[in-house]
Amino acid sequence: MLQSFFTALYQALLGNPDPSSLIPVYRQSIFPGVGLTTFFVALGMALLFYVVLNRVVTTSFFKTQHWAIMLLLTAVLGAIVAWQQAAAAVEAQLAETGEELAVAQVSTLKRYLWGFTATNTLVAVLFFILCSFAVKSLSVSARTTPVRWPN
Amino acid sequence: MATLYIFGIGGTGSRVIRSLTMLLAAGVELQNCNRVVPIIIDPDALNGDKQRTIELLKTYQRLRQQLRPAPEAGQFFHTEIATLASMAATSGQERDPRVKETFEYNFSGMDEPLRDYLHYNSLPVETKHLVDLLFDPKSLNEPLTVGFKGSPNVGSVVLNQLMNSPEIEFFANGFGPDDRVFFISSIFGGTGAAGFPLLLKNLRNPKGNLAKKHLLNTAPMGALTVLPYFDLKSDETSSIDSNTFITKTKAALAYYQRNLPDLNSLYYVGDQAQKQQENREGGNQQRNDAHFVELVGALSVLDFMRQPAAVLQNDHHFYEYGLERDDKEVRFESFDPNQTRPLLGPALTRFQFFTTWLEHHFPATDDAVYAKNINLKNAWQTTPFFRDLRRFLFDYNSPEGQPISFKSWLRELRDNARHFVPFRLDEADFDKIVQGQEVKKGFFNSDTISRSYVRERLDKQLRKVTEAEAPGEFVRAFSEVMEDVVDAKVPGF
Repeated sequence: MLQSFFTALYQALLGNPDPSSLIPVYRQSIFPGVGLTTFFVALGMALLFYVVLNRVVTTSFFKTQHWAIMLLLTAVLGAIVAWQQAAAAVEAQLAETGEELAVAQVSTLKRYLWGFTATNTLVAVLFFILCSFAVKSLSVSARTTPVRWPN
Repeated sequence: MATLYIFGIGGTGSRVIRSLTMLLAAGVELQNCNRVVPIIIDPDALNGDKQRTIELLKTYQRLRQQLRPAPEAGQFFHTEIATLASMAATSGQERDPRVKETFEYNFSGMDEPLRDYLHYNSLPVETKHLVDLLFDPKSLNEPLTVGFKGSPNVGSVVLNQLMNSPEIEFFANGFGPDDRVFFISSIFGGTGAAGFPLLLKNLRNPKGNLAKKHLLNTAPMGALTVLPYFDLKSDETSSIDSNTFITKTKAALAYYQRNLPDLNSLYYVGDQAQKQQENREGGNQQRNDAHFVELVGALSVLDFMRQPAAVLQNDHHFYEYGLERDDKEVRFESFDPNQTRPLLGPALTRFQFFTTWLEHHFPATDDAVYAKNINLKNAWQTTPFFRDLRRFLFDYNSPEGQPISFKSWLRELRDNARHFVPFRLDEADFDKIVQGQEVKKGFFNSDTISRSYVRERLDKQLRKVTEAEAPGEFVRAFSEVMEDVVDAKVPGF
């Protein structure tokens, strides 16, 4: 289910993987792996902001601009996770099958990887926003950040 | 609901009521009553002290009316302050249109000299001679618009009109079985020295025409008589000479000794004069800075209300006040550790922390949970409650030269002599605010009173409520948080 959810999500935003010989590895490994990791990164960042920094300890890190910094960090982590996991999985796949890509295919692959990285950055942002609304009620000092709703 | 009626007579009466209002705002508890009805008696319509106190009382009343539910004991603005006219609703009386919705007794038409007030020219010749014997020509010819200028013999004649006024009639009609009366006046001036014994005598008069005489004759009645505590600068053009204060005091005390049999408690407070005030006969110019003696005077009201009625009734008590340490600069440490210090220290510190937070820390935390829960950022600028509160606390939007705020009151107490300096007034760091009781950071005490420390507690305490409930929730939460902070962190209380 996770596999089909993340495949549908990324393909809806990015289209089919290119070159087409790598479609199985994207669908079976990269999309669900990166998607799940990105979700946990976003959840972790949301918990760090709302629970650790604004419940467990007392800090002055509760404002909307602080939340925006966490959002930015999550986006950067999302990009790093996407690039590293996808590049490693593609490399491993090519090494395993012994397939050699033509120069034009390498260029296509890199373009798709950049697109995937950018897309996952947006997905990370989306996950962080969703996780924020899910966990903000657990917070003491940031439960109205970035907006008062629904608390 | 028991009510305390306070007759504040003359400029000193107004100034002591000002101090009392500040204490009540800070949550100092007035026991055995739920409501205070101040009635300021001063024929000087433009008196600066009176105008400032009335403005303060009105602001307090407006703030208090918007606190729903009403603050609990110990919380800011717990005690209700009401006008005499507004008592109609609770005492079951019909509203009397002659009794105005104000904190002052209405001396209308007091712009004539005493000579005309007495209809001197129409008096029989024998009476004229008696009047000439009692009053010098200057007293007879000066208009009464600015009061009695230190002449109690004038005041005692004019103030007799009080007893036939609709205000006193209304007061007597609404007087309840648990109600009490307290008089505040100075003994060395004109209005207060004359007005207090006159009022007492008439209220206790068993043959008088007032309603509920039986209640008025048994109700606990107390008084504060303020002895000289300041000097006035010498001014040959002024009718008031502070060199006569002691002589007048002696004469008045001799009178009081024989003529106040119906008073249950009499409080004396005074001090060696340490600073000369400007010599103003009255009017808008008579606006003396708040003085420590007035704060002590306000404590007498608290002490009077602390006593059970059974202890007061049919008995006479006399009190004086002594400082634990004769400091020229009075701090909380200067007070008796078992009486005044625990009574004033924590409450005033909580209120000063509240003021400090709103002045220095709220702008940096206006998007915190506590602020967003009541939409405080917007309400702070737009709603009448918060505009009044800002004015009450730190002179927001006050006309120039007419500050009524808690902060200006503390500033005046600090600058007057003897100095009352419990706080560093412009200090934003909570750890350093209370003089002599700083919160020290140590090896085992790293958690001082930081902005985050207070804000986190406010975030927990201040709940999300509707706009109408916001003032009550705001005051409740701040009262509780500041109580926690002061109890947990400030040493010496």
